[in-house]
Amino acid sequence: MPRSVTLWLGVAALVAFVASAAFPLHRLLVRLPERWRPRFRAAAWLRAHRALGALAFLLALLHVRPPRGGAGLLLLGLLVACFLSAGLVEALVKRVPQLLSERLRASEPAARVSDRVRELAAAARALPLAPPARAAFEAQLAPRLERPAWRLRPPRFEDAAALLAPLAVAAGADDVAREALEDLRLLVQEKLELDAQRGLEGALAAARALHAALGGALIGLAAVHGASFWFY
Amino acid sequence: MTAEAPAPDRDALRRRHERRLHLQVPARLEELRALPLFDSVPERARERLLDKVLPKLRTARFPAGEEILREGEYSDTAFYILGGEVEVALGGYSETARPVVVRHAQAAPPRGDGGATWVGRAAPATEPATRRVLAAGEVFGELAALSRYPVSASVRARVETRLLLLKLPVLRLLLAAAPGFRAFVDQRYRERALGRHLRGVALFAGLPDERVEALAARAELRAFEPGERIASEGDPARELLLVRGGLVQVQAQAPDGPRVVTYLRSGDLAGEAGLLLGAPWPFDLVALDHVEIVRLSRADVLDAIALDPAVERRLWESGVVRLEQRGEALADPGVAQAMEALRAAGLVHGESALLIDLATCTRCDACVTACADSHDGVPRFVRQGQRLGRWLVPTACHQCTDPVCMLDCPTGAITREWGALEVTIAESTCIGCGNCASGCPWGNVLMVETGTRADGAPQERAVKCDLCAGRREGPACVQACPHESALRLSARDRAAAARAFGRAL
Repeated sequence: MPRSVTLWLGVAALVAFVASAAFPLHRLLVRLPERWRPRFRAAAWLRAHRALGALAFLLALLHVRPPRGGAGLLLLGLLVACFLSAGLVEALVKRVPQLLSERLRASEPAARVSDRVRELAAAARALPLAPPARAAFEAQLAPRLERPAWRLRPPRFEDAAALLAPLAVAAGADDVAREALEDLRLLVQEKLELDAQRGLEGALAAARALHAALGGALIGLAAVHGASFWFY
Repeated sequence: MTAEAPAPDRDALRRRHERRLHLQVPARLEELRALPLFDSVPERARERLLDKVLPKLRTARFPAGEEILREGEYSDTAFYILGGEVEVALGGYSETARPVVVRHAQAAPPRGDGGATWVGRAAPATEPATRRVLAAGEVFGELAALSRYPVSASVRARVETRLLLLKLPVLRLLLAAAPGFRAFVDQRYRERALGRHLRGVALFAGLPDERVEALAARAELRAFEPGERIASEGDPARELLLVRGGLVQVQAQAPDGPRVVTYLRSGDLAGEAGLLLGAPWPFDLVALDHVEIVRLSRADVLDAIALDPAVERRLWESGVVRLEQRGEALADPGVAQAMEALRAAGLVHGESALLIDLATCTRCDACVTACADSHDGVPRFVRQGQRLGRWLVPTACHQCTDPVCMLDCPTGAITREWGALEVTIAESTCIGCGNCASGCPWGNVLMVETGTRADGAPQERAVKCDLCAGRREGPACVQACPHESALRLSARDRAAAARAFGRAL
């Protein structure tokens, strides 16, 4: 391919990357005075972000030649990593909401999770457990119940049951004990679900942050690459 | 240049509200027994009714000059004058207008002592009165309370006046038990509001005024209690029914039981097919709450529309739509299920409710942030609430067709502009009493702290979703959602509701 064509492909790729990277601005633009505010929806902007990102990736691939030296390799590596991280975000954007809505009954806004976990722990403490069961609860379960944790898999019925196994023996077999244990199981189940919610939402946020960081680094390095070509 | 109206003094409004609460005392049974208001209740039922309403009845003593009702505000209370006089002012108080005492005994409900006087008719259009005086034994405010329309006149005490406050639940009990009172209220509605109501129905929009007035004069007004059947499938249909208030469920009989076809609310019609074809009712109509119906006989409607073929065409169109809806509900149980879900979540009352599709929502909170950004940093909803399958119904105002939050607002801060979807709370006149927040059945009105009052107590203010009124792009929450998970749903848009819920529950 003639050098001038690859050069312009590179310029076009950089422009497309920059345009694509403007996506996070949609949150800021909402605050502008009415006459300056864009009228289209964030969803349209996201579609444009995806399309421009994909176009930029293709243009950059057409622009690239076998890299000579560390900077070229780094740029190519960042390009591929950025594209892969976009794929990861896309996959998580599809999968995480599905898991959250289909597999979890509990759902709290992220800011409320810690409070809810504390409420669950307090409710568990208030259950009428027999002294041996209470001792087992305080020693083994309470510390896990009080602290929000990260979990990447929605809990199954057996997960809560496994956590309660040491208590089940100590609790006794009468109706009151069984009822208390069942209530505790429900509380533990909700706690595990909140952990899963936290973990899955956290995973999505981490993937987004990774993609944003890689994208930022890629644009920065590409700009340096373009400027160095221009000046030297 | 026009002078800007002074901002209302919120502290003064709050003091007025507290003063009015302070003026109220529980009603006394002996006094109620002697009131002609209850005379038309059959002897046997009277004591039972009094027992039922006594705990809910309050009397209030208003000093001379005290404002009782303000034109334009919403009220859930009718007032019976126990003693004194009030002045009713249309279009505000005018010191030059001559007060006219209007007494029309012919509209009074049957009663034993004949002592009280009732205002039973609207003043003729030629009467120049802008002020009227009502005296002991008369009632005012009942149409606004029952219809949920804004109060059409301001009322203040002319001398020290004692009033019996008839809140909406008591008013409904009284209407059901006292035929005389019912006849009086219906007569007033027929004379003052029905013509306007009929003219507001698209079907009759093109009819000349005299035709509409003739229809109004012959219309029959009927009330139904929750659960009561208004019409039954297969019965002869000889009328057109106009819903004046309340919510009606339309259901068709399937082999496996009744299926919900749709809901009718204020301004909706039923009975088009029967009217045009002489066919029996194709579905059941069941009252879901207190329903007020205007019944127009087939002969009257056919007579009225004879002049205007466009009305007949509109009737055919709406009749066909209703029959198609019935067919859909019978063919697809998912549609009926969607309609049931609307009711279960309270969405059936909503003109524009917020829904979030949890299967695509990434919980990024862009909707909440955008809402806060559009409302001085205070979000108007909470992304938490009832779940309907994959849908979340957040704690956000549904913009109800019949907003109960407006009823108990002591300063008239909650309003809905004529023809607008959004119910808004005026920041300048909200005194933070919390009546609207406790009155909303879905807890969709939020109380936020805005500072400290002069007396040191925290100053609160009610906030709710206002659909980002005035924002040309529409609600910010919907615009800001990058995954198109947030949407607005009107219960009137049956097709959208079926699309959203039909196969997703």
